[in-house]
Amino acid sequence: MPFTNQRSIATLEANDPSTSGESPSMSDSSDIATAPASPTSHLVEIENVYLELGGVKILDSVSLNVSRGEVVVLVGPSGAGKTSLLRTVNGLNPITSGSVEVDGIEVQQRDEAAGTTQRKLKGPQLRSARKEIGFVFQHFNLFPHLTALDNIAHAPRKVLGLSKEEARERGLQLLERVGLENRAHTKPSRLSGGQKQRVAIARALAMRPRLMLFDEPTSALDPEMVGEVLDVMRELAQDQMTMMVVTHEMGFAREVADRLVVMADGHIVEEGRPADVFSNPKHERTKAFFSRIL
Amino acid sequence: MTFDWAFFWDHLLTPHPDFVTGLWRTIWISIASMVLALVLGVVIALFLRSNNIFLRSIGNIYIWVIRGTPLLVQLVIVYSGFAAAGIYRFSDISVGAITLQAVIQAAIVTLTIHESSYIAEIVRSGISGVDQGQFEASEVLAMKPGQTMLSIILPQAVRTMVPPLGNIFNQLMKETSILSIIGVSEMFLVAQGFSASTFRTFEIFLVAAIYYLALTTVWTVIQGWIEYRLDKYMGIDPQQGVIAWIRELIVPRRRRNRPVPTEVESAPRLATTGA
Ligand SMILES: Nc1ncnc2c1ncn2[C@@H]1O[C@H](COP(=O)(O)OP(=O)(O)OP(=O)(O)O)[C@@H](O)[C@H]1O
Ligand SMILES: [Mg+2]
Repeated sequence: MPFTNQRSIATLEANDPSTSGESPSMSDSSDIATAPASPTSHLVEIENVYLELGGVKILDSVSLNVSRGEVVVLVGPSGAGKTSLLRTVNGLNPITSGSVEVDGIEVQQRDEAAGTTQRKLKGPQLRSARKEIGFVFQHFNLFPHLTALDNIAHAPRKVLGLSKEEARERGLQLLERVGLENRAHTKPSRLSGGQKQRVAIARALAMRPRLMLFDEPTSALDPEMVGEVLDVMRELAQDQMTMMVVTHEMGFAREVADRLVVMADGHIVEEGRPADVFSNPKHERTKAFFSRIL
Repeated sequence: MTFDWAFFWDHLLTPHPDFVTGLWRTIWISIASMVLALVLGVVIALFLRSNNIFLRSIGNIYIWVIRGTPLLVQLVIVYSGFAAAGIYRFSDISVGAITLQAVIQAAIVTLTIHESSYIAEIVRSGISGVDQGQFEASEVLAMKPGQTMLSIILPQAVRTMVPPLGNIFNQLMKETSILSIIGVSEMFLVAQGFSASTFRTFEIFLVAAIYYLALTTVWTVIQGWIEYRLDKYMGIDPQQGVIAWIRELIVPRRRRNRPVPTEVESAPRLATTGA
């Protein structure tokens, strides 16, 4: 009896992949079933966002969609609102009106016409949205009292509820991925700037985000350390990570970005394929910006 | 002048058992009050930082009232005033062989309340001293506010809080002498008893002063050691070796201008050295 049982299971297992392989329509439908509930293919939808801070208009009617797997590089002069835009995407800046959705979840939405009624996500919902969004700061913001490994493993343990062992395992894998496996037990103060930023990237990746936001990740670095950080980001892009990157590294933008977005004075003034925008900028602000930095 | 050296040395080196008991009482009342005041102080500090205006007001009023009135008055109100008004009367508590006297309970309660108002201010400013980027980094990692406070912010704030908290404890140990007023037989009251029975006031209180000095000195060394450990914990260069940090306690050169540990600071410095 047990023998026949085992055989029937074995035949079932053997049949399973063959049947799905024979009918492509079935595998198609299962793909759709596993895809996120969002009807759109955009991972990020920023719609008509206005942002005021301290009574000053920072973002003025900004709309931007980012597809899954797309790398969008944001450039523009200082004070253009690039940082502010990134910060609205994960709810660090509460917007004045408009809406921001990530993976079909409304990170924030506010309708000025409806008066002051604000639909902001409550703490738990905002946190669950943020689990999907990695953020890399210009000044790293590593936790100085934790080792490189603990910096990475901390949030997976506290937020995702991983066991100590699982979190440690994940941390070590990520350290290896950013080339710092021999720095696991080093405190941030003993790391170089480039190493700090790579740990910070690993820390964000440890949450297994769908979207990575980078705010001038190499601006605080010595020139010789910029390359090692860009290499890690380039690899991420190759792995199909969806990324929004604010940077002044035009070489990186040209090579890695699917789309270049130029901002000035709180507006998006121009966007397009990097090669097109670089060779044939249309807007005056873009030309002025390029003439200063290129 | 008559100074009885034999009497002085005798009491300094082979103190009367009552005196030793008083010394221990001073020590453990100080430690117990400090620990409780720390807990209460952190709670009040969180009130001060709360978004809730009601909690914030409670915190502010608490600090205003407690810091604005003398410890001595508070002590008498808590121990005698409350009893006289029929609000609360302290009575001895016995757990097994140990009895906690009513006066000592009142002493610890009062010291806890008194010191917590100072500690709250220290904790509050220690927390605000932590770089805003640390809050944001925790926030984008979807950590809850409580988790952030306990595992990220407070551990870092502790480093800047230790020197002022150490001062508080130093003062607290000396302030316990006030407890004699409600009859807690700590070191001061014991010394007073001896002085009354022997008329060797100068000798006795000189001995007491030396014991207080010993207490605060031991604490200074312990505090230096705590700061040394915390520097290592925060990844800051501590003074090299044990000898060096003992010397540092006596001749504080480095401590005077030790930077506040922040992440951001290192970035511009790196950039300038690179240029
Ligand atoms: N908290 C704030 N309160 C008031 N104004 C702010 C605040 N934060 C930013 N701003 C202003 O908003 C504008 C846009 O700032 P933002 O940091 O987004 O620019 P940016 O494009 O990132 O510039 P940079 O290249 O210098 O980083 C600036 O004029 C800035 O002064
Ligand atoms: Mg910026």
